[in-house]
Amino acid sequence: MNYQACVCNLCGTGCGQFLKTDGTRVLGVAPIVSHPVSKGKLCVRGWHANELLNTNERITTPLIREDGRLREASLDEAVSLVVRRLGECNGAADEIGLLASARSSNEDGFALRRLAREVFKTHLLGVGAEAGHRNSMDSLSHAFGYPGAVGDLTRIDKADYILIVGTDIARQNPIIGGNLHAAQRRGARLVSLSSSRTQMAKLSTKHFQQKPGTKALVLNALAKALHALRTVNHARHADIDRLAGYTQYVNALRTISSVALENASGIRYEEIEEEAQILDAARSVVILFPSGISGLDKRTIEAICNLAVLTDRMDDPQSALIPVAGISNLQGSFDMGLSGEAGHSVFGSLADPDSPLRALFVVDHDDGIIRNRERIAALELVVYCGAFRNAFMDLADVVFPLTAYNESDGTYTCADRRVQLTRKNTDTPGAGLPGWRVYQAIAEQAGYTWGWRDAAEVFLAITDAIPAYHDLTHHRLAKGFGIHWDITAFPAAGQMKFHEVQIDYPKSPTCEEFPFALMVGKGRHFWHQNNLMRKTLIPRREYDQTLLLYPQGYVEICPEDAQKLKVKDKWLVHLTSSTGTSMKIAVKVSPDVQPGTAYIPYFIKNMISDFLIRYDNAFSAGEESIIPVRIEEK
Amino acid sequence: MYLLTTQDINDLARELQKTHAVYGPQVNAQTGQVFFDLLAESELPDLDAAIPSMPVKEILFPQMERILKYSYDAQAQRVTLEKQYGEKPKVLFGLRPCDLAGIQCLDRFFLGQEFVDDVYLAHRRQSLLITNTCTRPWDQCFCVCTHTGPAADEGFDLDLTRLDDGYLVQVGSEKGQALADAHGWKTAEHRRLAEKAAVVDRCVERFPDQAKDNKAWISRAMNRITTGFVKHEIWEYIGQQCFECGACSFVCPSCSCFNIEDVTLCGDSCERLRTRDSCSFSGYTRMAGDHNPRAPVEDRRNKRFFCKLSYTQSKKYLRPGCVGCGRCQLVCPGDIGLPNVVQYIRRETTE
Amino acid sequence: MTHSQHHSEACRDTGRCPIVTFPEVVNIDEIKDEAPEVKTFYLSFLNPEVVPYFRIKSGQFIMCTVFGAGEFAVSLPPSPEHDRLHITVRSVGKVTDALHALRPGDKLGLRGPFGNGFPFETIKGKNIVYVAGGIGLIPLRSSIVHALQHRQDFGRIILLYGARSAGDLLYQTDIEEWKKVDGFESFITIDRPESGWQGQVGYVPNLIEKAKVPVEDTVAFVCGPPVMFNAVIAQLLKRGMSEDDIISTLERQMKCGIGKCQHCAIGRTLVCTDGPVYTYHQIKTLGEVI
Repeated sequence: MNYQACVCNLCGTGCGQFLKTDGTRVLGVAPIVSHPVSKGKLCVRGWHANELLNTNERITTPLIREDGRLREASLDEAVSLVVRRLGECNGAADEIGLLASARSSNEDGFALRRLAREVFKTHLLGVGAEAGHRNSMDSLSHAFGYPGAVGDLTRIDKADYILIVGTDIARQNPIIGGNLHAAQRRGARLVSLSSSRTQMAKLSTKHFQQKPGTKALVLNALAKALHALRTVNHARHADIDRLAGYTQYVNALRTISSVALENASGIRYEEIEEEAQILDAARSVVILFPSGISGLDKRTIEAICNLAVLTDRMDDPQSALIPVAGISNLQGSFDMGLSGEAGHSVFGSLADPDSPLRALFVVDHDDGIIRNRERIAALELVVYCGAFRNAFMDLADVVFPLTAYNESDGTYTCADRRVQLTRKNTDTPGAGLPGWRVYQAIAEQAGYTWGWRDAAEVFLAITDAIPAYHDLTHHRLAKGFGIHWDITAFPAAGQMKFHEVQIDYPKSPTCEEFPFALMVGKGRHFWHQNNLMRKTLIPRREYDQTLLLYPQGYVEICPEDAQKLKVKDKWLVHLTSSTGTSMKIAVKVSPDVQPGTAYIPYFIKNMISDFLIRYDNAFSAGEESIIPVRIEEK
Repeated sequence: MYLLTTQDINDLARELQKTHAVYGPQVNAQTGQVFFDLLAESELPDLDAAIPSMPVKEILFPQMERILKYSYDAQAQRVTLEKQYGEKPKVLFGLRPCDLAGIQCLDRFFLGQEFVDDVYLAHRRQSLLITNTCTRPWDQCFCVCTHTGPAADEGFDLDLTRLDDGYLVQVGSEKGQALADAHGWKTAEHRRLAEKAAVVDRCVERFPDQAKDNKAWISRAMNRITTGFVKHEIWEYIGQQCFECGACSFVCPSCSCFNIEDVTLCGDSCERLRTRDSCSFSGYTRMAGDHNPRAPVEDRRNKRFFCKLSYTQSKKYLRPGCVGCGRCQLVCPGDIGLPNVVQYIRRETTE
Repeated sequence: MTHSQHHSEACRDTGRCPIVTFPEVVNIDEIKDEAPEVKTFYLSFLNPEVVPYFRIKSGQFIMCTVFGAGEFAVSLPPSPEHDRLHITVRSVGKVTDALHALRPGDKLGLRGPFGNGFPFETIKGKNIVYVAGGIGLIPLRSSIVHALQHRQDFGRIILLYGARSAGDLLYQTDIEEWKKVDGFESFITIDRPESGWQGQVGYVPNLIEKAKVPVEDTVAFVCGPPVMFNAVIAQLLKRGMSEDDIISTLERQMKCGIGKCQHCAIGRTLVCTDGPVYTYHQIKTLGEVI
């Protein structure tokens, strides 16, 4: 049997994937039919994992920079160098920063955190995509007592009512999108709230296409309408009105004016009232929202949590509230404590020219995310650990080769807290090692003894240290398709609370001079800065296809606006933002976007360098970030 | 027509393993999923296993295959080429009739047209096809409508049917006959055919109603598609549900589209990779430095269903391109596996 | 390995015996700059055994491997008779860019020739009009040279050719040679006036009127960018030419060249085996946007 079961590592869904392998090379892919979430399906990424895993763009040996060039080195040499050079830095004074990877296994993440705290003594630790997921975790912790999904993804299959806030799940997590579509077909009410008409919105029973920046308002309005019904009916079981924050919440909801709502969001309150009736009648409710780099802002997530609590349905065995991560082990990285600490931000340190940062230790990071390139280049030591070559290597002084996800044992925690085990099924080309082995080697050289012989032993240490993982072992995880970590390990689990809300009616930041609200959109066949996808054959071709049609990138606007601007599809326009930055870009005319809005896929290089850099909040506000721009015919 | 015991069948498999690469159904212990894959020396084909989850075409037309290896020395301006295909003859032991029909489609397409595909031929050469009558359909099976099962009619070397007291073996080729003669198998009485018919009937009973209630629905849909009577809105609705994963093409026993790409290994060595492709991808028809002649997703979907279900395209396979295995339905994240598309078209017809 | 070993299995009663799967190595003997971003590569087979088998028809194409970069389809400009093997290529992508970076003595892989080719026997005795824009002359060159080699078999032979500028005109020395053939009429134009240019200025479709292009007993071969192509067709049809007498070649992404990979499928036809040469009537009825 050449087929080996594992977990797909290319997004946060955690689909079951077979790799066909002869032990040395991956020859093909097949889906796992009995997997409870993916049920025999994979997306274009999963189906082409064999192409990625066959790439020749692998790091196969430790490397050390000498006279400006990377040369091959032994593991001992590279480890010694790192220990010596980092020993010269004071980690406790934030001189050493670590960027972990949200694609690494829990074992690797746990070992890296230990390396940071125990060996380097630094608090400067992050995964890069934390802003969005941090918001999700904080809000969920407050509302439900633990930092993780309520319920799990399989509940999509049975729920009565499903609400998707933002994001085109059909693109970002296609298999969840497929399950949602299936739910709609079996009769569940599928409701989308997004400013553009995404594929998921098209497949939904109902699409609320709100004006940009008003998701929280619309959700609060829905809560108001639902609450009004609840007051009338009374026939409810839980003591929602005794929960902390209830009075403030309800009082705030009462202030929502239907006129102001419609002006701000473009959605009529009557429409929301109708929706509330259906929501009220639902026995089980699933709510999904994107989390991570393209996640929602705090206000919106809090509105979602509040609505979820208010539905009084979250204790139903078919209800769920899930922050859908785009990256495979984002949830696990947070669980392992890699998400950084208040007051210590790696990116903050990089951006601040006066920060004490002297050295950076980076694991398998997407190079598209390299901001502050000059600052990184000027650091005294940059260490890069990764399986695949990328542009971070150009900045690195020392490089360690890691295994790809199918080349070592490891557990991954996907969006809904499902911890799944992938066993090694193929040899690593060259001298690649699991991350934890590299970090342990560094720790040992620095005089610490961790004593792990295999990934299962690392996992034992995890179960000792992380309460939610207390009852898991590799042995248990090897049967079936993963186990959700234990929410009861959090003492506050089950105690629901409302977030404090403030009702405001966001005005569009656009003005006469800059009439378009520019947002970051999704591109087809583009994930995680394409660090991985561009190492494949067919998905890369599909991505190139977009660039062939629009070589300078594109900005999506609606046909009416195109007509007003007197431009046609593929014509070049000038885009000028309110801070004065500008770029030349092609127009893509699409009926799926609203008048007055414009979307640029975030893989367009100029978009990152010319626009987003100036709008730092664009990263933290994620999907809700809006930049006022002017579009002129060239 | 012969009657063999399970022991005889196992002996045959073991004997063939000495001279051939023998492939057969195997159950993955961890997941219970069935694959049709190379049998290790001690392994025997599991003839009672369910229908393989992936089509058997993986053996003859793999998802990814190295067809050429070369290295170019730019300094000396010298090239060395090395053929990568050409292997041991293969036995496919315990094929389902739907997969056999898929192989027949691929044969006619890769070998039967103006040009012969050397790579496919290298896999297919001297291969021996042993079919196994299907006894347990899946929920999405509909081979009774495409006339590809549950029993095979032709195209096999040997055909097995599990009866209560052994296997009924029917011969479909000279190669199969030679095997029978060499072993001196026990001849089966004529009444065994009735037993086989009962096995087939029992299997047909287990088919989903959709497949049983009107076996002509596929040919009706074919008629609609060929004559262009399917409304644009139907194609649009189908296109909307397409998640562009390509899975339908990858698991289709008769889909034959591929991509060729030269991939650099280390240094100056290069491999020519042939990978399966799908007409549902937008980059599929793209031309270098030019426009894409087939852009909207419903057009691309349209192309695939046209290929599977139109008379004109069926000419190249001498039968409908769809073999009724239903795997596309199983792997589609949308709801546009072929049986469902036929349903949409059928619903439109009746409305 | 001998030629017959390579190719015996792939040939099947077509009378053609191309190199199907395993590329034959050719040497780049000479490289000529044809126009900006366009170069002509003169080639010869390393294995002399292949030469007698490698018989081409005008309008056919080959699959060319640039070692280390990949393979691409390119039309064959040489005449089937008495001509040097060569290809003319514009750099438009990764593979063709790599080709342009090569020097004489470098090796290429070659498969083919593939495709149906232009009709030759059936158009004997007729007038031929060649209409080409820019690099559209490349696929027509073979047929032009072949027709001129058999000048006595045809009526009028007219070439209407245009490019953006004088520097973009391909095969200029060839055209001078062709002009020496008795009765060859050529009308060459560039889009905008430029210093030193004495010839016609304007777009190709305008030449049809100027050349008094005949309609009766005439076939037109048209190749060029879509805008030019459509304008030329409209004019020819207006003059009364039949859709069956207008012939063109189609370009599609190709991977195998032998009708297997299906990348070049348009409706029911495969450009690599049924084409690349089609009449306008066929193009119109292919059932998919061109």
